[in-house]
Amino acid sequence: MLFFKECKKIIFSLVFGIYCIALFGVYFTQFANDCKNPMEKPVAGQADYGTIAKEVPEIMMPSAIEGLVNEYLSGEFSAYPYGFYKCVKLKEKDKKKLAEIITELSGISAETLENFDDYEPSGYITKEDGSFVYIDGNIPEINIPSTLTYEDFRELMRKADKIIGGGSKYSDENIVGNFSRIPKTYEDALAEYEQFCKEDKITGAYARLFCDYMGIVLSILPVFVAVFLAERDKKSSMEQLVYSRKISSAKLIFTRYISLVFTMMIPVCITALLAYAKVKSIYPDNAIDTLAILKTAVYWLIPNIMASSAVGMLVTEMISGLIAIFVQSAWWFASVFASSGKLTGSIKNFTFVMRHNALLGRDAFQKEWDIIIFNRIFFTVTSVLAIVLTAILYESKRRGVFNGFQVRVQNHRH
Amino acid sequence: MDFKSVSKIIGINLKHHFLPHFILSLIIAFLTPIIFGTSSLNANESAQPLEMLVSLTGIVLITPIFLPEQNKNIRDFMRSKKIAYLAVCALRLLYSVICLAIIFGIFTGCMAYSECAVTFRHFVGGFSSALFLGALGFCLAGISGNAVIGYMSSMIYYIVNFALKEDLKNYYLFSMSTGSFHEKYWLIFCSIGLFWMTFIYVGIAEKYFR
Amino acid sequence: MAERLQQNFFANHFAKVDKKLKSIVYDDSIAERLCYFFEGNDWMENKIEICHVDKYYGRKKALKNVTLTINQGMFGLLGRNGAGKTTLMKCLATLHSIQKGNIVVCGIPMKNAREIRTITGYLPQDFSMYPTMTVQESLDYLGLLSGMETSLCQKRTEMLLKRVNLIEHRHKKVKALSGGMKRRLGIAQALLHDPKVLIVDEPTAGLDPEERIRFRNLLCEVAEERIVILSTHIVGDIEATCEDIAIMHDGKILWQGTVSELLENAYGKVFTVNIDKKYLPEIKKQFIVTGMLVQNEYVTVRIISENMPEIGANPTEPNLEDAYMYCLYSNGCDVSGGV
Repeated sequence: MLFFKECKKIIFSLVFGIYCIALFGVYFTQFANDCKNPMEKPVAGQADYGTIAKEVPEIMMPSAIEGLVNEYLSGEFSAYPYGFYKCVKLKEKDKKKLAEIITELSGISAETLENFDDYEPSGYITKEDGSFVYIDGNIPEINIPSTLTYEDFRELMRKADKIIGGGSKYSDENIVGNFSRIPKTYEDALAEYEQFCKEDKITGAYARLFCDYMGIVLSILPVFVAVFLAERDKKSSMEQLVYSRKISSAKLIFTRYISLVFTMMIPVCITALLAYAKVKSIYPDNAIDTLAILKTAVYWLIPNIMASSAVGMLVTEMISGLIAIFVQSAWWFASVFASSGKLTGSIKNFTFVMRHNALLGRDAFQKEWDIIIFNRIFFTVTSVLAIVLTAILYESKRRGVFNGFQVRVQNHRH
Repeated sequence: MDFKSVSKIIGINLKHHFLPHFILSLIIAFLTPIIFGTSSLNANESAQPLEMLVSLTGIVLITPIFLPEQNKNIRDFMRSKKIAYLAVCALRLLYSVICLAIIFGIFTGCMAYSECAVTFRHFVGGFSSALFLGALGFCLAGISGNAVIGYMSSMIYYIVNFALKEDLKNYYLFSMSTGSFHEKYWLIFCSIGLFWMTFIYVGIAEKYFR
Repeated sequence: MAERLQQNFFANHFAKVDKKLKSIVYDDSIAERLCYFFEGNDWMENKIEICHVDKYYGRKKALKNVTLTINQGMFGLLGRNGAGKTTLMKCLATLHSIQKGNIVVCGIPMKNAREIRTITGYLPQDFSMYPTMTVQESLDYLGLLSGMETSLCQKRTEMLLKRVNLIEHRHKKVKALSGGMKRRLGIAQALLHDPKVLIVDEPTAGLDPEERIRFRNLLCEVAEERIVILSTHIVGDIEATCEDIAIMHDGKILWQGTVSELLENAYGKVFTVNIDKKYLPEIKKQFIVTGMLVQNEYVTVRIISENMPEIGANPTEPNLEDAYMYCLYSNGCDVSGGV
């Protein structure tokens, strides 16, 4: 049967070997490394349970305004517009606009801001162990106008973020995490732990972590496997031989596609089983969900494999394999670094590489559940459509209607 | 080979085998300031765009050295010429590396112009990371006889650097972003080693068992 | 470099007046010393010597104790597919190393690959070139790789393109050429640096009859002044072009000699017989059938046999195909497949 023949062809190819090595590498160096010790149950009377981001206007408003004044006076704004740190310096025009916003927020006049010479930075800074410490600095006195409502405050902050160029500390995504952190209580910590044990049944939490790590590589590596196999046909002049066979283009392309996705899921399933065994070994006494990791891997990771293989097949058929690799790499970059600033709770409708780099945080994940379902269905359907398009292109090539766009980055073939 | 024919060989290769890859590397270099901040950065921050993004031009420029002759018929045919096939590949490697250095030179220059605390070290540091990524792809593409394998390996290694960070010790590509420079000598040294190894392997393999 | 090229070029032309020179310079040793002066190697030795060559691909022995001497003119290497012809050709073009034995091309031992490549032109079986280059660009580039001077290269490109009828297509890309045109480009590039030795591997495979004839004629023309080695499994190619031939089978040289010697060997061993169609399978079992002509119920069969068959056969003049088959047969090869 064609399907098994194709699978065999993939499994015995060098590129698939490298793919497997990479996958197992990620499993052992990342996931297994995070699973050395079980999560400990919080004990009453601990000094610190960490902090939690919670939208509390009374905390957020003064600290965010102070932060903004600080950055304004230092003249440098740190931002992560594409996931990478960017030090933003404003032009005079923008600076004036921002000064107006600051005046509205803090009551500090534009002249004071302009002529304040004894600036020393102040505010919360993050220490190496992750705790927050307040440093006294020297900035003009802040008097938040009593008429300023929380909604107005958020709106002004949004404007400030826009002036800075997006991705600043004051953006909607970042403001809560940056300026509205409250210490966790024992009860909070315990509730989270209970949720981890009962609702997630432990493996549910580990499944998210597993898919988070695997998703990163599974969003790019399949394109190499797909391109390698498609190019091999061209390189060995098999193309013409295959073209002249009876099999319909749709059947051929879909069989190849399904066998690609199928074979690439095999090592994923194996690592998922290893992950289950690992979790079971560190929580021998707890009731855990046997199939959670495998189930999560199926809905979370298959769309990633499908999409990047589809890009590989479509672009190779349309232009060339190297372009396919470039396109997929660019997409991967954009997606991975867009979410690299925030590794949990940042999944959007069109986030390709979904991140959830934490064991806890079931609530944040569940809150995005509808988005996640839409997201995964979207990528699955789009991939299938891309493959339909590939089949159409293949058919028209076969009939000699279309010969691929002429781009010089291609393997020389005859 | 005299200078004239060497320059002609280079010219033809530039036109037919280098241009698309060069354009691709320029795209990467031009995209970098959009995603990364490239003005008023301190020394460690300045290293980030150089090591993490511009270094990808190394993969784009150096991996495809053997690509034009990936078809065995062409390769065998080219080998039958008086000027050794590997000598032509060495010329390609040479101009690719020079081009890589120029890209890094210009990029560091632009950063210096936008008041980043860049020095000659940044140039060497970024360049060496790019060279190593390229050398890795070049080596595996040469050994496997397939450029896709080369691209894949260097891409995997690039990702590994985000995951394992300093655990990679002397092979850590982004060390300059953390303020350490001695890895760079090691990277350059290894790149040269990889180039030699690949040439020797390909030379032997072509003659004896490919 | 440039000097060397000039010397090379000069030496090549010098070779043509070799005979005249000999008539002027009585003392052969002086002539030889003169030759050394012009080109560091012995161009007088216009032959290729292959001595006891073994070649392995992994464990598989592809060439077994091959010994051959190839002189100026056309030399045909005949054999089945997989007999080792291409391997031998690649060894001559210094693309493969040999494990045992020695190859000397015009006095240059095989280890001086660069020097051998300077004086050989090679047209591989599947001639492939960068598809995006034009015909002109390809020749320019290949000329450079052969270490030619630009002006000389341009002159010869022009001349050769005219000779192979590609001058109108010089700006066409390689990928747009037809099979025959690509072959012609192949022969043009092989002759570009005016090599003393031309190695062509199955050059007529896949060509139409007209192209094939043209190609053979072209080869015969160029063979007047150099060694041309032609490998083929098509007997007709050899018949039309070569005087000296060798037959290869299973990595070994079965036979070496001239075409007429080969025919002579088969003399009296080829017969025609007229039989009823139904006896054909029986005949095929007993003899090697090299051809047949069907006429209604009867069929005229050409057969090879050591002795006169007792079925009313008439001896007939052997053609080269018969002689080739007889050679394989008499050397104990399995030729029962026949026609």
